[in-house]
Amino acid sequence: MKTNELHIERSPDTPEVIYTDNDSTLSIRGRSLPEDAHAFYSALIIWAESQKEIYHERQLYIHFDLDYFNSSSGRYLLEFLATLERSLRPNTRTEIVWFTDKEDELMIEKGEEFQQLIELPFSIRFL
Amino acid sequence: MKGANYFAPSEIMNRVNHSSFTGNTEFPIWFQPRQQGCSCAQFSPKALREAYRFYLSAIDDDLCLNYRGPFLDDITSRIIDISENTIAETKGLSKVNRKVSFLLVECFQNIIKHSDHNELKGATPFSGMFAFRNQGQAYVINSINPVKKEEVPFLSKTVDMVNSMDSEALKHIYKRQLIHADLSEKGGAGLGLIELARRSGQQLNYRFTDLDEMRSYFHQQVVFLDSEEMKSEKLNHLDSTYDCFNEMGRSEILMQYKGDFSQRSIIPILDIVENNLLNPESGQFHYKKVGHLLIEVLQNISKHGKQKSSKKSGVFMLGRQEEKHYIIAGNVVGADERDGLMMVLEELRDKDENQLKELHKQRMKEIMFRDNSSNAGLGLIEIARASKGKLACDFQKIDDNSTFFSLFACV
Repeated sequence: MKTNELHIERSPDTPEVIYTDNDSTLSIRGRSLPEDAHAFYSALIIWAESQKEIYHERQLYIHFDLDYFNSSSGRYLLEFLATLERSLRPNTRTEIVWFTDKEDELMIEKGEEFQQLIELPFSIRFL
Repeated sequence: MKGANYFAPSEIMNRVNHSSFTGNTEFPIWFQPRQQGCSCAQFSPKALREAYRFYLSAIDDDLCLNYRGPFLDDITSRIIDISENTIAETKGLSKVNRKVSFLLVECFQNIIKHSDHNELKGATPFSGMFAFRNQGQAYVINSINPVKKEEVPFLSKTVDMVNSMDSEALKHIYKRQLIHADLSEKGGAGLGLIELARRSGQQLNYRFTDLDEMRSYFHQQVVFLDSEEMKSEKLNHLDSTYDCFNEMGRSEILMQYKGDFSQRSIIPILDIVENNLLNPESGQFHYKKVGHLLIEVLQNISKHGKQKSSKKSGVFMLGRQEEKHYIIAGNVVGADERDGLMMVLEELRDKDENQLKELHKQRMKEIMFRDNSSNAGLGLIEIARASKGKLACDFQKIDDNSTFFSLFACV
């Protein structure tokens, strides 16, 4: 079986990204402010693309716990989600969860924007 | 002065096409100040021009940072991060870095030593100022801080004494002070001043002005020169710093910055603002909205700023008006970029919150379906959205190839 594992450490302007097959969860946590987010997100987009190589029935959770992200990151986060949407096999049960504080209007709004653009199951949960 | 009186219904692209873009014509683009009645009293053409005025006043500075906020976090280390970029870019000298860092820290500690505890914690508005400038091989640190009137004679005497000594004498007195450690507050202050004189190798400039019955302002300037030929006498910023101090007070500006806008500089700037200038009491997530606006504005400069050598140069200032924050930013752009910016801004003009939201969604859809490989003005759309229409822009011609682009946004 092809390994899926992913681990990118947090930096002052990029979030931590972890995926382990153990819990089938990709979590993206921290703040994302790179001026050109392409360099950072290309690894994630490639990961999303590679999901089409996985044929067996399975679950996949995507957890976002972002303090904040800039417009360039927003563009590539969307590209990541759109790539994922295209790449996942129908027998993958997926859930995207957008964690945020219930008073953080900005991040709630950002979550809703992705929710409207993406067809995968997408829920916003308050921490 | 309300922005409403200055609304300029300009047909932007017409002006560009008819090449009326000559001279330093007023060229403001306002976004809906009329409909929404911007509650930010600083919102005026004069404020919009502040960016250019500040840019010109610091034209020779590779870096200029004026700070009038509380000192909650270790600001020195952030300033050192920013200055290290500037210094490393121009000289690559870590020795200079270390000297300048030492002087910055020592100056900060001197301010803190004399300041009222409540002021430092931001409980009352901070009444002092800290300014750091780098011009080529000269590094100048200015500070203005309140001291008790009874401390004035001691401080004057100490600085005069330190200034009259050569390096051997300073070394001697430093050791003596250490051994006979008079651990009183005064002793500590004396030691700090001796260290500043020793490490800078220059005379300390100072003066006192009245603050109120109990306190005076202690103005101090420390210079470090990375060149034997330079003369520090030419670098007297006591007056200009005081002017700036007063101006910042009047306009309630907390921080002004001219310098590099690459990512390595933007992140420490953002940290200074987030950790010190945004009062969490003004709503837990208000600071986030300000930070959001700020990062987009700073990165917009970085993206469009005309590059001087490998540095991206521009200015920004952050002010506070009651519960609101406002950001004024500016940078030099070339003719092509000017036209590109105008086109994007024209599309944003007069759009309300919902229309901006729609436009954003449309752009995001284009990205999804790969119709558009660029960021397509996403940053400016975010700026317009974050400021909820309290956004104004201005272009001032510098010469045929360059224009100064200013932006005012309020959140």
